Order: sequence, then structure tokens, then C-alpha cells
Amino acid sequence: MREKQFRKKNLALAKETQATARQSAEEKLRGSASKSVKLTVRQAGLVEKGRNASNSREVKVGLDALNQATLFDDAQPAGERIEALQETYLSMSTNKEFKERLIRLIGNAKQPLELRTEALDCFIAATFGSRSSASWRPQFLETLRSVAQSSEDPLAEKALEVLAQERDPWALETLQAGLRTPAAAKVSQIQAIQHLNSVDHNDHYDVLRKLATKNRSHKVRVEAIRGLAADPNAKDLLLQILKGSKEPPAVRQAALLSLRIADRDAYGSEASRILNDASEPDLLRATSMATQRYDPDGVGEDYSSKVQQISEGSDSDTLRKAAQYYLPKKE
Amino acid sequence: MNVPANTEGLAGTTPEPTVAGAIANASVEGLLLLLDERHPVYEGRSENAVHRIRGWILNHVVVSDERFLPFIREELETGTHAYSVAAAARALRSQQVNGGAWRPLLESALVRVKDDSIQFHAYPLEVVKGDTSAKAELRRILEEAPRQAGVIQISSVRSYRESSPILDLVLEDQEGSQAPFHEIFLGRPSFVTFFYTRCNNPAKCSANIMRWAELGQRLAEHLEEVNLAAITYDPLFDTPDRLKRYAEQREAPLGNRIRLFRAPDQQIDLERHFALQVGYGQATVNRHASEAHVLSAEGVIVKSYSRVPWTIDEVIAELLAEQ
Repeated sequence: MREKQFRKKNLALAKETQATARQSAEEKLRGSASKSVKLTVRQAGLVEKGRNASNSREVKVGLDALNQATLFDDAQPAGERIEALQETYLSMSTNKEFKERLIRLIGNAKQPLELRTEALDCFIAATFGSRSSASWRPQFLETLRSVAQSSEDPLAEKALEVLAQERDPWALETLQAGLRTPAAAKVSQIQAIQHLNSVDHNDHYDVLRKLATKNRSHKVRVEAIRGLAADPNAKDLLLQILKGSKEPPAVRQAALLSLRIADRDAYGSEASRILNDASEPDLLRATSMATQRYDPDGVGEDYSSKVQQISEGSDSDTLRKAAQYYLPKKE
Repeated sequence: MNVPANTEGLAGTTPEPTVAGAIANASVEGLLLLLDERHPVYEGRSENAVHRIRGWILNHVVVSDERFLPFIREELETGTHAYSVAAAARALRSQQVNGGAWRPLLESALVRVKDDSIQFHAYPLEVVKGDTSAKAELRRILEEAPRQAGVIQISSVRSYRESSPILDLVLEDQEGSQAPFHEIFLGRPSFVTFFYTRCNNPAKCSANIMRWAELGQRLAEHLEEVNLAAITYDPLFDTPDRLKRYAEQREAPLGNRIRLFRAPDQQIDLERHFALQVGYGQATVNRHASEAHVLSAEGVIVKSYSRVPWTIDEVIAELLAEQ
């Protein structure tokens, strides 16, 4: 009975939302009569039909036509063009011609930056899941590369990041070059490392090792150490950082977490040692507790008794709470 | 490796423009040697660099020579990288083959490839405006290929019996149990294939192990009479727990006679024994061939599948014939 009532209420809400949306669309269509949006003959026909529509579908088609025209009309204010884009991009996501026009807009440095940025975001959202096999992919990648290469285009950095997310070889190698030669960097070190770390098959591990050991920024070191999780050959370096008592706790924590992936055996013995050593920082001991607690092979007796001990007797409030949280529950 | 003069000295540290120049002037023999994943030119390079180099090599295949066909076939069958797949399609046009037989491969490549704007007049290290795309190249050759079906004539399946010494190394399985090679493989015929868990081409290792798992299911009643083994190219990263998870996710009926392995200490010996066609970047494999072998009950390699897919029925027939 409750489910039936819930469904009835849900349906009523959906109908109300649809009615509101239709009303809003009709108002916009009527209001457009006084605006000077450049419409093609076809678009004008659809908009007129939408104004006098007898059903929601005609209203929607008319609104889409109006929004498309507004979006690509250079004479319209950027804010209205963005609003038009946001209203229409999802319904146009299967329209090849619309996508190709949107790509050209993204690549046009003469268009307002905020519009191009929004267009790129909307394009990515609308094409999620279809980008790798789409027919417009070559045009999309080429446009982004052209934007990313331009030193004067304010969209260059974002274009480079999108390309890196697409695993574009040129983009990944550009990021890598920026890590090796900071003067040539187009994005921050942290951003570059994060993008490069998403692909195991890059060849940036030598530069990660340098950054992991020698960088003024702890945050950069942490990102570099994270990347080394994918390189089992980095085991000795990770151990060295982890055992370095003068290293910041956050850096040592990153080394412990990466060691867990790069070399389980080395991680296992270190995690136990750290848990048992009261002189180790709370952050490290709590991390050791957490990673051991959720080990796929389960926890041993030693772990349970040690964590129990900490939960009852530690001087640190933080550590006691962590121990109470991570203590395996007795069944 | 006997390297022809104009490709001599090419190594993983050779700048790519230099490699490209050597490729442009290479002989047929030189190009063939460079297509081998073990060539020093690939050592330590990223996967993207390897694709560029191999694509450039295929772009310079202009002479019809059947020895190129396994490489072309493999790229069309499993490749996803726009540049190397397009180059393979272009290379195919220079070969004297029955185009109709290659249609299914070309059509599957058309679906699989991650298209991109490309060009072939300059080595693609810098960004140059493209004048074609991978799909355009594939469609072009499809338009030229006759529609009548045929069979691809390539001999990449090598059959041989040699009295090779039994491999002296220890393997570790997905449970962490270690045993010497002879203990695992002697006494019953075996099928051995190779893979690694970080392979990012779903048409290669993942598909291979799924097929291997299905082979195991089909042989369920005969599993005491044969061995099925899958050995990783990446022993440092592919620890037993990772091997186990990988196999379970692909529904492999793991047991005493169907196991995944790594060679914890002697990977080089393993590669040498099976002549594994694999190259390594800084952290993991940068490129590998599709390969599998049938071993006799004496542990001798009697059949090798190199750059061709093995079929379940074929392997079952081979294993039963070896009993």
C-alpha cells in the first residue's frame, strides 16, 4: 500500500515538473519574439510551431531550435548563450552536426572564454561513454591540441587537461616534459603528476623518483610517491622514505600506502612494526591500523590484540578513537 | 640479435627522430627485426612511443613479404591505437593477399580503434595537422577489398619438436605455492599462455585469459590428464593475490591443473626458453605479442601460436593428441 502511494505521489510530482517545464519553455518561446536571435528558416518554423504547440514535444523541439540558434549567434550576450547551451546540450547529444559546431566553437579563440569553457564541460558530459569510438573524435582531439598548443589561448590549460584525461600521447608527453623542465610546464606539478599517474604505461617514473626525494613541496612529493605505487622497482625508495624518521608524517604515510601496492610483503612487515612502535607518529600508526584492518587476507591475532591495547591505553585521544573504530568486531 | 647495418645500435635511449630516420632507410630484414618487441629500441620506452615507432615501421612496409603479415594481422585484430592500426591497414595494401579474407579483421578494427586525426608524411612526434584518420584508412581499404569471403593465409603457428632442455626454474602460482618447472609440467601435456594483469588492451590479455578459462571449463573432465597454465610477463607486480583475483574475475576454474603463475626470480630464463616477444617500459610491459604454446608430456614445446588467436577446439585436439 505504501509503495502504491509512493508511486502515485512520484507520478504526480513528475507531471507537475513537466507542466512547470512546459510553461517555462512556452514563456521563453513567446518572449523570443521580441529578441533578435538569428534563426534559419527551419529554426524559425520550429520556434513558431513551438509557440502555438498543442503538445509538449512540439514545445521542446521549438525550444531546442531557439536555444541552438542563441548559442551559435555571436551577437547574443555570453550569459544568454551559456544558458541556451545548458538547456539544450543533452537533448542534442545525438546530433552529429551540433557536436561538430560545438567543437568549432570550443576551438575558436575569438569566442568568449566563459562560453568556450562551459561548452567544453557540456561536451564532455554529453559524450561520456561514447568518446572513444565517435566519428567526431579526430576533430575533437585535433581542436583541443590546437587550443592547448597556443600560448595565448586562455583555454589552453583546460584543453591540455582534457586531452590528458583522454590519454592523448602528445598531452601526456607535454606534461612529462613540464615535469622534467619546470620552465616548460603548462600546468602545476601536482596536476601533471596526477594525470600521468593515471596510466601505468608512461615513462615518467624516473622523474617521479626525483620528485619523491627532492622537492620543496610536500604535496608534490606525496603525489610523486603515489605514482610510484605502480612501479615495483621503487620498493627500496619507498622503504627509505617510510623509515626516514625526519620525513613529514604525510609523506611517510604516502610511502606506506604506495608500498602496499608496490610490494605487499615489504608493506606487511613495516605496517606491523609501525603499529607496535609507540614512537611513530599517530598518523602513521592510524594508517597502518586502517590498511591492515581491511586487508583482503584478513587480520591476525597480533593485530587485534595490539589494536585493543591501543584503544584502551594510548595517551593519544586520536589514536584511541582510531583504534576503537578499527578494532575488529567480535562475532 | 643479428641487426642489419642501418638499424644497428638503435636502443631505448636513441632519440625518436634518429630511430625514425633509420626506419625510413631500413631494408625489409631491418624492418622485420624492428617489429620484434624484444628489439633494444623499445627498452624503457612508454607504450605511446612504442606505438609511434611500430606505426612508422608499418608505414614503411611497401614491399609484399608474407613475413609482415603476422604483425599486420595482430595489429588489425587487437590494436586500439589509431596510428598503428591505420599504419597496419596501409601496410596491408602493399601485400599480395586475398582482400576478402581480411574483411572481418578490418571491420572489427573499425569498431575497436580509438580514432584520431593522423598523418603519415612525417614521424608523429610533434603535433602536425592530420590529413586522414584511422577509420578513414580502414574504410579505404575495405572499399577496395572484394566482398567474397576467404581464409587468411598466414603461418604463425609453428610446430616443432626439439629436444630442448627442460627449463630449470621455479614458478609460483596464484596461491603462493612454489614448484620447479618440471614438477608442474612433466607427465602430462600442457597448454601455456602469457599475459599480465595491467594489460590495458581488453582485446589482448583479458580476452586471452577469458578464453583460457573457457578452455578450462570445457576440459573439466580431463583436467587430471592435462595442465593449463597462464604465466605473467610482469612478475614483480603480479603477485599471487593479484593473479588469483584476475583469474576469478574471468571465471577460471582454478585448481591443481589449471593455474596462473609468475617466475619470481628467473623471468629472463622464462623469456628465453619460450622466446617471449615482450618489451618493457620503466614500470611494466610496453608491448607484447599474443602467444601460447602446447607442451608434450615431456615438457617440450611442440606447437606455438604466435600473433594468431588460438581456438579452444584446436588446443583441445592438440592436447588430446599429445596424451
